Amino acid sequence: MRFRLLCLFWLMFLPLPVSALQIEVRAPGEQAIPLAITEFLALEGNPPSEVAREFHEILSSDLDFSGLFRLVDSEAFLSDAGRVGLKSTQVDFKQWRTLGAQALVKGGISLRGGKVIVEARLYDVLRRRLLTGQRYSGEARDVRTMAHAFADQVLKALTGDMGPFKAKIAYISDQTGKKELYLMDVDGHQPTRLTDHRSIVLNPDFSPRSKEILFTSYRAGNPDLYRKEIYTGREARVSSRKGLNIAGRFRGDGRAIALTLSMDENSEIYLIGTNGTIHKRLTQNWGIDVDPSWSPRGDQIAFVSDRLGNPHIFILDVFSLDERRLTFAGKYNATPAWSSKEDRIAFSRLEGRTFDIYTIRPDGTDERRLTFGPGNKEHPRWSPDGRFLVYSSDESGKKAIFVMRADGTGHRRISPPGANCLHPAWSARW
Amino acid sequence: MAQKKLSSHPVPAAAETGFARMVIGSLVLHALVVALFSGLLVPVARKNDRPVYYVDLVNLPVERPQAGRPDGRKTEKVKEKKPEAKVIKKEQAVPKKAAETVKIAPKKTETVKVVPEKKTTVKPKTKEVKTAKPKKAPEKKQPVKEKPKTIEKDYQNVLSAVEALRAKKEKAAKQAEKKDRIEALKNKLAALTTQDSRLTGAGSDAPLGMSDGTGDQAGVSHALWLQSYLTSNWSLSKYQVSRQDLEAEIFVVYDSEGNLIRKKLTHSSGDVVFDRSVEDAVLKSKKLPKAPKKRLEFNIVFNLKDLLEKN
Repeated sequence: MRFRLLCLFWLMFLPLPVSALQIEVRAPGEQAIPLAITEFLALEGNPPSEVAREFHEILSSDLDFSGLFRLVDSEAFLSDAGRVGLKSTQVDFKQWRTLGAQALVKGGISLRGGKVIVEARLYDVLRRRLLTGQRYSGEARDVRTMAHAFADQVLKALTGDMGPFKAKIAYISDQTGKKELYLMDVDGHQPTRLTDHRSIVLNPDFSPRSKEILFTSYRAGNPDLYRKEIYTGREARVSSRKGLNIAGRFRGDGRAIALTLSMDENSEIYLIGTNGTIHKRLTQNWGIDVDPSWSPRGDQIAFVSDRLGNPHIFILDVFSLDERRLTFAGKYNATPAWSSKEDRIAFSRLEGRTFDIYTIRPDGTDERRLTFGPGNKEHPRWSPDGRFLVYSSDESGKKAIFVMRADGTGHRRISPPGANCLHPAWSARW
Repeated sequence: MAQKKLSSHPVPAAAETGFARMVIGSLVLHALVVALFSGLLVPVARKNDRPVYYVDLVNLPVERPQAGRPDGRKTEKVKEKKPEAKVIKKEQAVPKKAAETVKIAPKKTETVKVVPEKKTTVKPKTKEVKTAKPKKAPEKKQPVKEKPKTIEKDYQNVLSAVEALRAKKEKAAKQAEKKDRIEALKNKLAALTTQDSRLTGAGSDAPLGMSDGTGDQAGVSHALWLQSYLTSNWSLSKYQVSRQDLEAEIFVVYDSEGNLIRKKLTHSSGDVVFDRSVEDAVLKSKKLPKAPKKRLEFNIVFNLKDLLEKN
């Protein structure tokens, strides 16, 4: 009896004969999401038509730059594009499916008491449901910020990661004849000068936690490290030791700063607090050690050293102070920048007579060249989501700020023409 | 109080052997289970590692695909037969006249040789013939008016002119056919550059079918057609995923009318965005264009192997 019971028991685990056919699909036929973005319609009041047009233009530009989407031609839109209803039950998804759209953006604009209110919706056409909806309220001049914010939300809804478009880019420009610090939107609009040092300002870096920025300035005759609150304008010198106080970089928690000091007659990397107190000396080598860049976890730093003759990139463990070499190719590797995704480090390398931008894994494998062609491409910095890079290039004669996707595609100029613009830095989401 | 003696009852020998049998039986059964799962006793379903073909979705799937290639030609053979039939008819028509002109046959060869010479002289006559073509009766009338000795000569000239025209037309038709074939080959070459480079095979003359086809219908199987259909309906940007070694598996069932009646994600890739994209691809493919007339079940594996290979 027990034997029979046991037989019945293992019979349950017998694999059933397979009748289903096997199919393997090895790549998507469409490597972009077909997205339709309608022109936002007037809901209430009489909002200026330029508001809707501007919102549409900026949103389309951001989402197109992301590389995720293929925008459906608006000339193909059917009657539903002109319908005001924003509830998913009011959208005729069949029309959009006919056009091949997989995602749909619709919205409306109202004007109430002088305030512009933007209602934006992202729909899943296949499942006929709302993916995300946002309402923004502000002045007409805030429409650009609203559009960038919604672009970030669209990316979050479809990829799980927030986009970086509602952020700022800091850079150095000699527009006034002196190198000063500026701030602009990710698409290059609204450039604003932040400093009036009338000297040389270099190497900005954003605080990850607050609206503050670090930079080096020769205002007092020496390259000192400054810290500035962007909205109040208050400034403080963080480090003014003898010699160099340059290339300050906030740690991920915003509580410490790595920088290069040369007070001991040699350029070394130090760890200091936000009040300038030295916590620790990190490098101890006869070579010149500069350009620190924190890993996202804050336990390692990538930096440049010429201890072996030519400048190469090394990685330092902040706790054990162990160092290892990262780059072996090329004769001059500089300005490392560690991605927030932790998987890649961007840097510039001199090949022949020009600098180009490369990325490499932290373990030294899978090195890739991202830029080609004439001009020096330098000082790469990552977007907060690790999808994009900002860098400076003098391919047009003067140095300008460019952005591109992490794989080197889609590069576009964002800095205003006329002046030299360099040393960009991409803030966290603003 | 008298102490009770503890009584011990020895275990009977039969019970011990029964227990031993149970243990042995259990071990054997466990071993069998291991053997079953390892595939030693029962073949385990393995994923077919078939080459990927480019399937033209315009050609609907069939129940009994013939031997051929999924990217083979469907109706070219039928098209080729039609012009041959016409040619045969023409040839059949010619003998009648040939029979009539059998006597003149040796003279024909002479006239053929002389054709280039005659061209210079015939030109004005050909013009006359061209203008007179729609009206054969007046042509016939002309020789009647002329002297009877020249009637035969004129008739031969007319025949040779007509044959020359016919030869010209046939030549033009052949050249047009040649151009069409060259264009078709060029298009095919252009298409080949976008196809999977792993494709090798029977060449451009293979009929539309399956490499393991044994049926009599020009077309591909439902499985292969669905593979191409799903590929075309699958949208995923490389910027949506952080890795390219993702793989997900979905079990789907279509009813005899070609409607998707069941889908189940049997193996997740671990990436929500990737899983959603493959489910979307299946949703877009929820209606087959042709009713399969039977229930179909598929285990569909989605991965990015082709992208990995390209990188």
